Amino acid sequence: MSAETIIAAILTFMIWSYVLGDNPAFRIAEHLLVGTAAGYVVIVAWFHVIQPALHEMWSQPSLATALPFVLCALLVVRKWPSMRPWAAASLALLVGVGSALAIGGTLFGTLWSQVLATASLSLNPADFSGSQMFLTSNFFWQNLAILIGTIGTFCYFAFRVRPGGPLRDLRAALIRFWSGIGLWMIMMTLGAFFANAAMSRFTLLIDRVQWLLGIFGLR
Amino acid sequence: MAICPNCGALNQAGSTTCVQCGKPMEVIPSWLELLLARYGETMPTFEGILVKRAPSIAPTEPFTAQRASSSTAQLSTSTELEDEKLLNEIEKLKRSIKEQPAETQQPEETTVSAALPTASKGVDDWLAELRALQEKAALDSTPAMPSEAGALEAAQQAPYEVLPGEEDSSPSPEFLGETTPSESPGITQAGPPAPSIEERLGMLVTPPDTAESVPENSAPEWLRELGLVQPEQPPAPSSGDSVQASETLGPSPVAEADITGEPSGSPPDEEIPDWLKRLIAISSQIPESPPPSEVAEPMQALAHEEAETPPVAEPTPGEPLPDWLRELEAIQTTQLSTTMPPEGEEITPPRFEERATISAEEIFIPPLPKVEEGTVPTAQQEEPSPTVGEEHPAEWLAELEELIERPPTSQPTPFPVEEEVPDWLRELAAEKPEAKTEPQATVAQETPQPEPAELPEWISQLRPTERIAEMPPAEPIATPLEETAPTSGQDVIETLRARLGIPQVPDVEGAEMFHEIVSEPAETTLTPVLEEVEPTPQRNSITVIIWALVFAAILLGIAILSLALLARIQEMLGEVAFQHFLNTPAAAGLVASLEQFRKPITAIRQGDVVLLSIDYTPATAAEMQPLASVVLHDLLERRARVLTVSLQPEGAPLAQRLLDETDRPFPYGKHTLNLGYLPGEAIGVRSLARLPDRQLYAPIGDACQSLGECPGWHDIRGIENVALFIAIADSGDSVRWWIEQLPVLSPNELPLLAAVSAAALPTVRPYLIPASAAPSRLSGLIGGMMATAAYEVYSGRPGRALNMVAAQSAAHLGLVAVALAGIFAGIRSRTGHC
Amino acid sequence: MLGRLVSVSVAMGVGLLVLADYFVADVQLDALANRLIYIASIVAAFALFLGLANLTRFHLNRVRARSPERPYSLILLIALTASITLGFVSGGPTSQWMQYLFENVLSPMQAALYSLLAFFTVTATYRAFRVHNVESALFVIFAVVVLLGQTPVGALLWEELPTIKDWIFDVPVLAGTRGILLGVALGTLATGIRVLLGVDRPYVDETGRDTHGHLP
Repeated sequence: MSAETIIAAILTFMIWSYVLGDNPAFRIAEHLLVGTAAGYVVIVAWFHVIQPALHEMWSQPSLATALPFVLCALLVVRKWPSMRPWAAASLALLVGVGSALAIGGTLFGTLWSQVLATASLSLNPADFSGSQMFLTSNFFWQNLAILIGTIGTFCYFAFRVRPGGPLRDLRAALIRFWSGIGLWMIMMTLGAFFANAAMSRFTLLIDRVQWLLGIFGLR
Repeated sequence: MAICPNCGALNQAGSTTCVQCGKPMEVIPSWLELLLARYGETMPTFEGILVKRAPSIAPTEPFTAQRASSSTAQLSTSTELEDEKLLNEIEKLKRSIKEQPAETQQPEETTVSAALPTASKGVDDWLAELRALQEKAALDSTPAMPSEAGALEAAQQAPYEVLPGEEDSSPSPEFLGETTPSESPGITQAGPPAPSIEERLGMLVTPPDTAESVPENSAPEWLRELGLVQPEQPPAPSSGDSVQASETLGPSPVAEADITGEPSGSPPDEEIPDWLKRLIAISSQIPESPPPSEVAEPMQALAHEEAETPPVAEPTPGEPLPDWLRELEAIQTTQLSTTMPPEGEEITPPRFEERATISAEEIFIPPLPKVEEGTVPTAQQEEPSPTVGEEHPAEWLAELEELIERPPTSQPTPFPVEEEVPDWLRELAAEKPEAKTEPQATVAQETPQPEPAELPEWISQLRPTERIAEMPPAEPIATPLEETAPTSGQDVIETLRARLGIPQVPDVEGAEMFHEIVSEPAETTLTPVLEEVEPTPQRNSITVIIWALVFAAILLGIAILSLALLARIQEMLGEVAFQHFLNTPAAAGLVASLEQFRKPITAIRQGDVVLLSIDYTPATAAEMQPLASVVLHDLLERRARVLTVSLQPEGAPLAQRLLDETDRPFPYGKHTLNLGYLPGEAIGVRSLARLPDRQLYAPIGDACQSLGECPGWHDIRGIENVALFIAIADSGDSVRWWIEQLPVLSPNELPLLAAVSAAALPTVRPYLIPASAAPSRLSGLIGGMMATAAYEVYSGRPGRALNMVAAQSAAHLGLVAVALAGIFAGIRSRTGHC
Repeated sequence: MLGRLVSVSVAMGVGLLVLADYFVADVQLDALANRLIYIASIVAAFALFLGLANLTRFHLNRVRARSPERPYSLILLIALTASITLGFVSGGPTSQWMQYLFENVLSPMQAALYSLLAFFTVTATYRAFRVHNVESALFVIFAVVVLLGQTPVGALLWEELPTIKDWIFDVPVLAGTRGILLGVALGTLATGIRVLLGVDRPYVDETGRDTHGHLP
């Protein structure tokens, strides 16, 4: 058994000791992990993002290559209150680009595709094996269930505002109906989410246990 | 018994107006003083007006959990934050009206900050002042009425209805609705040249004709902004209007509760809710570490508040007082014997009254920055909070103003009954013919008295022993419950509450919690936190050793048990069983998804470039690495060229680890390249537009630093040269970023596959849409350990996933057993078989 | 005031330019948007250094204040300094020493930390699987069916279980997740549009403003 394997095993035990409650061993490992991870991430960012950009700036000096570092410098001077309004420009660029990407991506990548996918669920009897047979088609009922479930879940999240106007009671009843369906769908979904999350976590635990058994020759 | 501050006549205890001269026996409410102080206004001198009702300070008042709940329920962090919000609003307001210069500062005795002991002011100081004021009050046979009384009496013209017998319990905010022509007694101005509070409030409630006669600048700006200066006060309260107001400004628990109230026009006794008192307490620079005397004060205040709640039981008339209270009473009686009858225990320095009224909340309020003693706090001393509402203060104040113009509500209020009321207001109330003061004893008979509570031991220990003896003891006096409607002042409070989102919290649970807290022994309550947190090093090391041993023993036991069962489990649920399972109809869904995923892979031609995104960290590498490995091998065996990127900083070394594993048959640089970390999540995806310029994570010499420089990869000019994209991710977000941003990068139909963790699988599943239904690049999706194991079987490369199938199955069985146990336990607990 | 105007203009201008790239097929606009995105990616990477500075300052303060957490903060600072020093001295994350650190310290600890969640999943299962009403019953039933249907054990117990599990993912879970995605998408759109229009300005950090940088 190599030294590094022993180190890794000890650190694993220190982390797992949290099962018995918060204790100094866990806290030591926790802080060690945070410190190491932060240092490692910064090293990766420096050598793989910042350094190439700096190299580009030195090799091809221009406003385009220098602008990123001007903005980075503005981030640093944010510490001084008088410079804060100017320093916000770099954050503004980040937020502006991020918002634009979020809008465009959500619009075309999620909203449009999901709405189309839901709208394309056919309930037309002609699309099934004959006008008298669609009620016996699994796909018909499946499409209907997906449609109702999607609308219900969406209503549960999107229409929590108390309606007004002359037909408010009717609207409230409709929203209550759809929200009830949505709640049921959400609980089903969360049940599946929970099971799959448990599966993922057990995979991680099994891997660690098998690794430990392996290094101790028990497997 | 109470002594009139004007004529010195003997009155019934708790009387608000003198039976002899008809003058009120109250002082300016503390909240108003504090509010004025916050705005830099000066306060009139009230040296002579020191008569206070006994219940406010009665240390013998019962202290039960029910009343304490109003304090305790407000102790939550959220409430404190809301206090800060409100403070910041006030600070903003002050800043907005800065054009009105701060007036001459009043003597220390009249300013709020002086009235409240600061951190630099110990118990001795304020008690000494207290004693001085007491003596002054005792010697003042003819207390001076401020000259502003004329303006105040003019305010009595406003229509106002008081139910007989309720005027005792209808103090402060009545001034908002009560106006009477001035009948000033002609007392000379003794206060500062600046307009005093009576003037302002007189202007505030003056009818239109009277208000016109008042110069416009005579009303302070802050009052006008608050909307308290009204040309005309609406008459009788209207519950309907109140409901309307509450609906307009959003839900207010109080307003909703008030809907069922009686249409009574009688004003409430106490219109200052707890939260506002606490706010005032905060704004008066509470010392960071209150002196010991302040610990006793909250108890008195709590006792005072207790009297305002629905009492639990009738107190025993002859209930013995605690010893220290008896001492207090004796000393007080002796001191006052020269100027008043022995029963005159109701004379109280106003300063103490203020403290007693607000201190219940103070003890739990986080300390604010100290202010020099005797100075009025300025708005600049506090940083405005960035968490205030969206609107400028002036906007919500304008709304307030509109609201105040509506008729006051007539619903019962849950607010406490007793509160300080300025003398001039008491006078106004006394002059109304129907406002006859009911004897306090009658009220006491009608209202059941709360039970006295026992002071916790640690509070008794903190009780001042000498100085406190000079404080006037007071007998517990029953206070009628508030059953009347709020006036326009109530509207102000409700509006503030609604605008600032301050909830009205229920009482009972908080009270019980508070009672538990204060009942704890001093050792646990007062022990510094640091001592509790920091264990001794010796204990740490012993604990570590013991825990390590116990933990190792448990693990060893599990390992031995697993070994014993491993063979059997492996036989039942292992590789062979899984391969058999894949051939059954039950695995049809798994196999179908796998075949759908592999379809684009099998379509790859030799030399095609596949972009593989390794979007996971070492935390989930146990699940993702086998999946990535089997996919990578499948690609390389089809002679594809693989580029890897990662949206996670730690994904780059993991990708490198993968590529190193395949280095023997498929050398790095020739078949594979690692383009490293793409910072910025969705931004990182779009940064692939500069694909040829990407620096390699592991450069190959100087000649191959970036993708475009590497021999054999010159044909890659952009993302359009990529034949297939595969995201291997442990979260749905990463896949979503790729799905959303990749079509912009690559207008051609670049197919996209996703191999995800089991946890992320359901969140990515909706993106797997048939091409005929909607435009979506996701053409294949697999996830979880079982899919990985199936992939290993189909690709003919059994690996770690297949080895884990048995353990995974056993773990699922165990978890289901735990779930069933939980269900059973839940059923048992519901049926009572605990 | 001018600085604030500049930052708002930057956010709106840059955002609208990048957004226009989704709608307009223009080579120059595409190049400009890609350049802006590249600049933003560098700023995002640099933000990691600011996070590091904050982390260091926080733990240095704890050390200076002789907090009870002082030993742990010291450990964190030592680990941080060591990894950074090692990275710069040895020549980057691909160096042998950094790989050693990654494989033997970082990876096992992160893996162990996440595997710890399995223990809490078990306790959560015991506590959460209480059937009180229809909703909780649905949650429990679907979780148990999916748990069993994911593995061959389900087929051993009842061969229809994996099929039912597949149906669950194809119909109710798909519908529920799609409804959630639609709601989230609408929320993201609204938030993004507010930022691009300057209504929300999260980048502005002005005294006296609220956290969302609303205009007074």
